[in-house]
Amino acid sequence: MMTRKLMFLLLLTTPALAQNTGDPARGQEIFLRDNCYTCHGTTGAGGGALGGPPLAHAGLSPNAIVNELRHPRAVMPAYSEKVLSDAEAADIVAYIQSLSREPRADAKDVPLLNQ
Amino acid sequence: MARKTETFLGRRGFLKGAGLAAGALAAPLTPKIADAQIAVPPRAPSIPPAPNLEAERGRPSDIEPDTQSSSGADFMLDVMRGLGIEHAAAFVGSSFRGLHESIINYGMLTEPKLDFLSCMHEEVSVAMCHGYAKIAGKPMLAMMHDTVGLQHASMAIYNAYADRVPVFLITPSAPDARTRKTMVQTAHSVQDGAAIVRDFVKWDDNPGSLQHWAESATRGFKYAMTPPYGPVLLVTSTDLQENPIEENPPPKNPQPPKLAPPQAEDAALSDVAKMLVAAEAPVLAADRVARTEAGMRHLVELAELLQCAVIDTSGRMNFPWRHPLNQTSRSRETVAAADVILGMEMTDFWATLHAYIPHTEASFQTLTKPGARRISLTAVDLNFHSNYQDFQRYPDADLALAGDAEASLPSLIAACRALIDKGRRSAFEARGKKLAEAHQTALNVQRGLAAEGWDSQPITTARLVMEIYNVIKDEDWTLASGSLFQNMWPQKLWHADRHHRYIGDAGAYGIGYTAPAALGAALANKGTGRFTLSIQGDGDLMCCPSSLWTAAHEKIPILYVMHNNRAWHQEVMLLQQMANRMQRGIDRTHIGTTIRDPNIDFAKLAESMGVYGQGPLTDPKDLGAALRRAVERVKKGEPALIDVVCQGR
Repeated sequence: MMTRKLMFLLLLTTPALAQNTGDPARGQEIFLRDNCYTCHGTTGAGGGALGGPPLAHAGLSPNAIVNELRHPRAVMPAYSEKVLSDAEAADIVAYIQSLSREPRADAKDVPLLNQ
Repeated sequence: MARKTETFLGRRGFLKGAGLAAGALAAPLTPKIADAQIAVPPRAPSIPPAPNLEAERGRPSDIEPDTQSSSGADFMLDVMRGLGIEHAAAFVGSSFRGLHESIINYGMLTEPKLDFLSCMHEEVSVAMCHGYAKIAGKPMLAMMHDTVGLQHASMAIYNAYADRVPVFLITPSAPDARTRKTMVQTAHSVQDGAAIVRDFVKWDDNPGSLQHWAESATRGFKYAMTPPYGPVLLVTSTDLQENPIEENPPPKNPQPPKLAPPQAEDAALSDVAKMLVAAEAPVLAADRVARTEAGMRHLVELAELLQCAVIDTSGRMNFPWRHPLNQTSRSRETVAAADVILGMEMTDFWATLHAYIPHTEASFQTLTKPGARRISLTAVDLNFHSNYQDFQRYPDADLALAGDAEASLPSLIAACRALIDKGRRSAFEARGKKLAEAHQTALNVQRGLAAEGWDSQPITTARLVMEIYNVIKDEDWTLASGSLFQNMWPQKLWHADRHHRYIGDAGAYGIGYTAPAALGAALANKGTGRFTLSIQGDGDLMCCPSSLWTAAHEKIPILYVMHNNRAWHQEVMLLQQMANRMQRGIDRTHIGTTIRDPNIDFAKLAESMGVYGQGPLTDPKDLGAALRRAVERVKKGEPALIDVVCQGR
């Protein structure tokens, strides 16, 4: 189990995150390359009970996203620094943040969802 | 064994005579085939004089031609017709040629008809029976070649067993080495033909006579159709099928009994009623409660009487998906708040009461609060098999009732009704209003999630599912595929309030079920005006692609909409987990888990087998029109397939 102290150290060792210097375009490439989209949806919409939770508009901080990548609480594979560098993690964060800047989808605007 | 002659040239005698005639024609030609310039000699007489014929046969003149006027198979067919069996699905096999011949020349030509459906794999035959029974409410027949056919069929039989579905199975045997006709038949012969599947059929027998066969068929039908339903298997001797009926006295066809399902004990149901009526937050959990439309109506009546929460884990269409008391979308909080939980025909009651917590030693957490009363009611407790663990984890229960839920519900409703006074009714109404609000809130949350990425590519499963619903909602539809891999979006967002709207999933999670089982459901719906739909996984279809040929060949109307995520998606994620545990990266986890390079063109696959096909569709804006075109084809009576490239889940 990850202790609070270790978690704190982890946060200190992710400078790209702290400065939020990730590249959203590169993040999207990684998001698709590493199959994140197959559980979370191409646009971070989520995949329901057997998929992953929504990421866009989920109010996740950069640190929360990386913590989940490194030490997932649910069934997602754990992405250590060995398989996903800090820079790549920062790119993913940037992509998810860019999704969240898009207007939130509203079901009321989708006729097929109101039947 | 004695075969009798009715005419000088019976059917088999005629064929042999024709063969000889052809031989008489061919013999003079054979040496001259290479020389096209040489004229064909004068035509030979069609049938040689009788003495010459017998000489060429090399058999004494006192042996009668190999014909007969009755067969055991015709008698077996009459027994099955008496049991209400209308269809036989099979991948052809000579060991059941007696029954095959009887069906095509007797069963398909006389009333009540029993017809033959051509399949290309025994897994298709049995899965068709599986899907058929869940709509028709009765079994159909699958015939499997001895040994090798049954081996092919075994996964589909296990699915039907675990899904509590009646299927009538026949596999032949040739127990007497003297009468086996070829080395092939000997290689397929077996001492105990049912042994390979005995752990997952409800009952089997190996009858020694036609009378025995008739009694075992009727007994097997009774067992198959008594809850918990299940497949039954008759190992049927080839000699018994093929030889004339010579038993004395002649075999008699037993009267099929009217069947009554087992109801749980009244006193125990009365105790359950007391607990439910006294509870502040009772929950009804249902998985395979509704065997029929009546089962769903009973569950609605009980829920509305108590104004209590219902969790439907969708083994069947148990409870209307948009009913205000349906709390399935918020099942965890519903279970956590419950003080009494009645689990009915639950495949995995334990899973409903617990949450899986990964990365911990225990791996699970109990959801129920201390003191919550847990009651199980299931007919599966009346069926004892050990080896295969489809009975899942043992759920702690304060009270366990052995009995069929659908049959027990009327007594439980009556017992509850007798206990409800004015004060309780008022409390129930207030509870019902809160649950209706919670249902609506959960629906709005799901709609919001479905709206995310609405126009994205690959197409989201929510978009796929709602585009489909838009074109079928005014039909009398059946969703004949499980929706687990589409995030249960139909259950969350569609209106469904008839028992035939949904038939659950494979039962034992055996991939390769969906395409043929949905076809079986479509067979049962054929001619009723219903519209059958399968949201079809790409990996599943490639286990039994010949289902498409059977659909076209047998003219069974069904719409397959491919949920084509070009992978065995669950396995992608699970393999990635393992690779990351090993810290070796996931860049090679596509190997063995994806269906790419090349991508499969499912529309062409369908068209190659005579099924209307469209796709691959990648733009969600094209979906509606494509689906409408396909729906029109299906409504004209033919199968159709739309290939849609989608996100994983």
